[in-house]
Parts: sequence; C-alpha cells; structure tokens
Amino acid sequence: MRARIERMFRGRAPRVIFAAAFWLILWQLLYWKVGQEILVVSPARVLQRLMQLGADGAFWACVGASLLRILAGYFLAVVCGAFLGAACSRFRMLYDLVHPLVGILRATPVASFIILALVWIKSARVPVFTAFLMVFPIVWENLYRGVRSADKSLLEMAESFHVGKLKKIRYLYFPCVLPHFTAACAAGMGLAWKAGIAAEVLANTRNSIGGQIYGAKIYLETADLFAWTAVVVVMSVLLERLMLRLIGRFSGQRDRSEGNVHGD
Amino acid sequence: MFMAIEIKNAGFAYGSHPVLKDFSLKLPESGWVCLFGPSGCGKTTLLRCLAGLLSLQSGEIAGLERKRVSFVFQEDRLLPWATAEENVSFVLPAKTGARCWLKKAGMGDFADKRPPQLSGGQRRRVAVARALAYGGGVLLLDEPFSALDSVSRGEMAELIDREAPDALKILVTHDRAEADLLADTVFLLAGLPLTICRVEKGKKQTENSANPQKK
Repeated sequence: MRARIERMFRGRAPRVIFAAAFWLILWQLLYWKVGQEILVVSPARVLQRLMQLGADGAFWACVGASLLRILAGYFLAVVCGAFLGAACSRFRMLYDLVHPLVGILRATPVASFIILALVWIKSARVPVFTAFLMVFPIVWENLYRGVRSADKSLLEMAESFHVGKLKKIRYLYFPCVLPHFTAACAAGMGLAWKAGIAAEVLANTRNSIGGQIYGAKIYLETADLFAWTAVVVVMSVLLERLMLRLIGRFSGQRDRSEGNVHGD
Repeated sequence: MFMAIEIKNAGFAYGSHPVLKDFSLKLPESGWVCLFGPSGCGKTTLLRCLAGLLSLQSGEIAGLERKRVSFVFQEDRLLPWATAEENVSFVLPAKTGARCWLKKAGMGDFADKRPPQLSGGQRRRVAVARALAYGGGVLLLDEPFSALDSVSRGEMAELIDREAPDALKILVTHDRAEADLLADTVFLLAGLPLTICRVEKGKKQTENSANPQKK
C-alpha cells in the first residue's frame, strides 16, 4: 500500500496537484463552515468571477497598466541600484553617503512611503515610486556585496599581468556579481509587485488592479476581492519565474560566450 | 656578469613589522637566480615588490622600468569558472597561442577543463603555461614546482629554460636540492628583516665553469 502511494507521488506534477487540491478542499470546507459569502466565497465562485472578468477588455487594461507601472519602478531601481552599488564598492566616500539612506529606506514601513508619495506626486506615479523604493535597497546591497566578494588574489594576479579594466570586469567581477544580482532581481520582483499593488490600493489609482481591489472592498464585492487577489498572486509567481528564466538564459549565454575569452 | 636589475636600499614594512630594511641586491640580465630561505623571511614580499604589486616605502629598484615581468604565484590563482585555455588567454592580448602553450606544458588534452576538474599538479602546469605565454624579460617563480613530482619538476624546469632562455628567472624555493640543481646563483636569505647571509654558485654555474664548451 505504502509503495503504491509512493509510486503515485513520484514526480513533481502529482505532488503539486495534491497540494493544490488539499488547499482548495480546505477553502471549500471553510466556505461551508462560515456560510456567509460576504466573508468567504467559494473557490468555484471565484473561478466563475475570474472568467467573467477575463472576458472583459477592461480587466486586461487594468492588469496591463498595473504591470507597466510596477515594472517601470522595478527596472528603474535595478538600473540605479546596480550602478550605484558598483560605484559604492569602488568609492568609500560614496558608500558612506548612500549606506545610511539605504538603511532608512529598508527600515521605513511601505505604508509611510505610499502616504508621503501621495502628498508629493500624482496618484498614477505612486506605484512606480513605491516599487522603486522597495527594490532599490536590495539591488544596491547585493551589487555592493557582489563586487566586494571578488577574489583579491585573482585581482592581484590580473594586475600583475596588466589585464585591462573591461576584461577584469567581464571575466573577474561579473561571475562574482551574477549570483548576488540574480537573487536581488528575483526577490525584488515579488516585493515590487506586492508593494506596487498596495500603493495602488492606497492611492486608489485609476485603471489598476489595486484600484479594483479598493472598489471591491468599498462595495463589499468579496468575490471580486478574491478574484483580483488571485490575479495578483498568479502575476507575482509568473513574473518571478519569468525573471529567473531570463537571467538564467542570459547567464547561460554568458557562460557559453566565455568559452571564448576574446569573443568581444 | 652584467647586472641588469639593482635593488638599492629597499625598505618595506607591514605596519610596524619591517620586512625589507636597507636591502640591496644585484641581479643579472638572464639565467636562474634562486632565493633560498626559511618561511616568512620576506622572499615573497621581495618578489611582489619586483612585480610592482607592492610599492617600496624607501629605496628603489633600477633596471625594471622597461622589462615585462611575469609571475608564477605560490598559489595557482586560476579563474575557477574559466577553462585552462581561457585562463592562459586571459593574460594575452589575442586568443591565439593559449592552446599551444598548454600543449608545451603537457596540458594539451586538458585545455577545455576548468581548474576544479584538474589535479594540483595540472593546475601548476597551467599557471606556468600562463606565465610563459605572457612572456617578458623577468620571470618570477614563487615555489612553482611545489605540487609537482620529481619527473614533472624536471620537465617544467626544462620547459621554462627552453621557452624563456633569455629571461631572468628568479626562483623562490624551500628545496635546497632544487635550488642547487636549477640556479646559477643561490642567495641564502634570513629574516626578518630580509638579509643575504651568503651567495653561492649553483651546480649549473659550477658545471658551466668546469666545462665552458658545454655552454
């Protein structure tokens, strides 16, 4: 019997299906137990609502607009964090200036930033700003640590053979920085998405997932609230995977091209 | 003997610990020179000063200005993520030639392997091939044969002799027999600070002076 169960759960797909089925059944049981659709809706009702929403063009417009805003903040943070992190690892004075600022950004609650941003800028830009503030410290710190982790003895070897700066960056620093950068990008994507949606909710941004969640809360549309939350979760997982795949493909190509040190 | 490099009253300290203090040494244009002395007496520091990796705090090194200096470090210092061929071509302006140098060092069949896939001795061979590929008038060898068996040591020494015949080869070793066998001149050192206790002729020099026609 035990061997039969073990055979059934061999491979990843059956285990994932089992876990998903377990939580869906638990959700359904909770729905029956509570018995009030205003507090908990059934999985079937959420799925039905999702299908209704998916058939409407406005749904995709909201998802697209939210995605654009949050990705704008995310990529801006990745670029700024990477450049500033690398520069801080080189110039001690710059590090002394930026480090306390990053410490403050890390310690401040996201809600404070959102409310401050609402005072300073247009509500449509608040998610961009929030995503940027969430991702920037992670990328900055990881880049800084990555560059600092470069092997000193290898750097000395490169210096003794008068290896050029670009070659050093490409073949010495890049392999040290890549794992730190990948981790920062993956962690940052999830955070940017969640904080960006929270910013849209608080800013009640028009044409946005957060704005729809806010509306669902105001009109006590629990099915809508669950459906939009499901959209946020699915998008978060998809974006994180896509990001990891993109970085993996990019680093894979680098590995292959490094088969030719003078390929540049 | 024509003296090419002269270290004059060199001074260098790590914090309050002087390693070189008024240290002077004259080195020839080419041939094998061995620095023999106990661990920690400052031999590696001297090599690093010669390579320009450390700046003297006082004194000067004359005659190195226009010379290309190549270094075989005490550790292999190979890029662990790069293949043996890439490690050699890393120090070259163009890719061509790296595989050829590896072949000469007996590593032709391992050109596509990365350092973690190689044995200690094979990694030393790659490090020696890299230094020879870089070339130059001065070859600094900091215990280059430490991970090699006696046959491989002989092969490597022959390779260095063959491929860098006109270079000055400065060898740091703890092995007195190796020093005697390879070097034209052996400097017996003590420290700290680094001092020259004695200068001796190696077997090579003795044999050459006994049979001048052999040279």
